[in-house]
Amino acid sequence: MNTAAMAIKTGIDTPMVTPNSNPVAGIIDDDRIDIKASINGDGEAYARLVRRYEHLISQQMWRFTRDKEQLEHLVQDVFVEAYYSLHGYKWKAPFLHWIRRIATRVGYRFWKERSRDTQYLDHGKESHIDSYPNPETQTPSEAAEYLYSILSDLPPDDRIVLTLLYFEECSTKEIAERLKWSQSLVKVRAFRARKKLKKQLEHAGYGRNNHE
Amino acid sequence: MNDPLRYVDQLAAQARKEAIPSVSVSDRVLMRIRNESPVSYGPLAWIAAGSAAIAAGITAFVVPLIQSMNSPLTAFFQMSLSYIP
Repeated sequence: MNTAAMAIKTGIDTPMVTPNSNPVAGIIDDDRIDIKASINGDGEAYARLVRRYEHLISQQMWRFTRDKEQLEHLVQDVFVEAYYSLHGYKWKAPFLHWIRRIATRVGYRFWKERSRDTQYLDHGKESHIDSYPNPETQTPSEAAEYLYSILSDLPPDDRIVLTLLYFEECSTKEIAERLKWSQSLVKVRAFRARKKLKKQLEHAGYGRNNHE
Repeated sequence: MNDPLRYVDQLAAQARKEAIPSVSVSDRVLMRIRNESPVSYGPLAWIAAGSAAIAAGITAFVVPLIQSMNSPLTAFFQMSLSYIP
């Protein structure tokens, strides 16, 4: 099994360095070949790249929508945007890291556009939070759905930081890289977003009617 | 568990175990790339160049005319004189 396949199977972001990979940048040889061919217009090479990473990218984009049809569109958008940016790939980091950054920006943009579209309709909207189910008795899918709805009450800037923190367990450094923000900005945003989330949960009655 | 953020941490730990739906998009991505070929600015550039050339021609003709009419009163009298037999 090559390193790309291993990375996909295990879901590890940074593929292991083996004789089949570039020991300096950690770029998988298969990726390097396919990226160069794609830049030269080989569509089949790009399709191989897409097939190699679509599962991991769809996992990531599932944090931005809970609708399967929308998920497909977002994953497509990521790979289309990546294709037109391939000339800008600097060969310094694995392709997966690079495309994850694009995916984060596509998702963030999607939220911002949606929040712009709905901000006039949402005046005086009620919070999504009305009860606090026990996480231990919930299925992972129910817990994810619930966490998604809690975070969706926040503005996109706060929501993206907390989504990356809670769902993807990203470090401050990773969030900064993905969003092209400074680490100090990420720390400030995360602090404020958590504070806002706490206030929002308390305002909606957390503590009075826990674990209904 | 009275700390709301601890509750969210527990919720997130459970949420991360979720089985994610997988999608297969390679065919549609290729289709979109083929259809959304980069915009060609060639025809637009020709139209812009043509417009610029016409504008330059008009400017070259009009500027001396405007300069010769620096005094509207003089121009008026000159024009009037040409009508007097």
